[in-house]
Amino acid sequence: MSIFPPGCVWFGMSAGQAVFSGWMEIPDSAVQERARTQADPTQADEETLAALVSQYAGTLYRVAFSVLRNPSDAEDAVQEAFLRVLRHRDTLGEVRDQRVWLIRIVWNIVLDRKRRAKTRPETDDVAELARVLPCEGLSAEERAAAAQHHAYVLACVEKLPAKERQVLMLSAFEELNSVEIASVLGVTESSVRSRLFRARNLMAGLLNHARQ
Amino acid sequence: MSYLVQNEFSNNSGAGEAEETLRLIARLPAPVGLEDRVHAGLRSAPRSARVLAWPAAFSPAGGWLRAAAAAAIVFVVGVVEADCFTETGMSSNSSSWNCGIVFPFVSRIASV
Repeated sequence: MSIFPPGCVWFGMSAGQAVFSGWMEIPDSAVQERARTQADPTQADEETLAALVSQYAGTLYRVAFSVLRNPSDAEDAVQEAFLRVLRHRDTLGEVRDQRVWLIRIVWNIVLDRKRRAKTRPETDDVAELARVLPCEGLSAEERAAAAQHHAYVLACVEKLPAKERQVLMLSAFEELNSVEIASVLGVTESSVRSRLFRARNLMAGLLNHARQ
Repeated sequence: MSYLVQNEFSNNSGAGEAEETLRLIARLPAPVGLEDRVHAGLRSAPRSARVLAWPAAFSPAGGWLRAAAAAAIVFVVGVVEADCFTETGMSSNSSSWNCGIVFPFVSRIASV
């Protein structure tokens, strides 16, 4: 026999008892969602991953292409990045900024690939840039000249020291601010700023020297 | 902050050209169907690390396999130690480590 009077019985109720007794209503959809994710956390992770692919695959591709400058290599890098995420999908919930985290993953992949690959000849860049760069209102000659110019500038970028080059390349992405670039590279924001300063000076020197 | 203090050195024409080229490349659109191909790649990827996974028949859920492995290690160490004592006649406070590994090297050095 309970020591509590009948009117006080709800003080000792658990949440489950309260739900069953009818005074605490939980919407059916919430119950079903919770039951589904509890029953199959893997499926919930995979849905999160699918959403990440839909949202960020394009961004990751552009980051990868900016380093590798080859469409199929860039796509492979994006695929590899998401495969890595798939392998560590149980830690997805701990990631604070998924966009920066994903960019960091693909950035490391492309740097590793580039390190292992042979040096890319400038002629490859000219051909690829002529194919992919926007060419509205340009004649064939102007397009070829623009591609050649961009390829030459990229060749000069390649001559920069690695740290400066990386900051300069990442700073070209509109969606990345200095804090996020610092996070991708694993350095402080002030380092990013000083490297960018040096990169710009070095680039100016390289291009001006070439013109003289 | 877009383009990271880009106006700070905008008088620097060489750097400006480089950044313009890099920006052009950074703005290039991703190829059509990229997401679908990534989704398909993820669907066909193995779900777990099969090499490291336990076979179903030897599932360590009960822990018996680990216990058996631990017992086997204890048994082997015990046998080796017993052999050392009988072969060298060492007292029980000398270590089996010295007996099995260090002692042959010491004897070789002494012979040289």
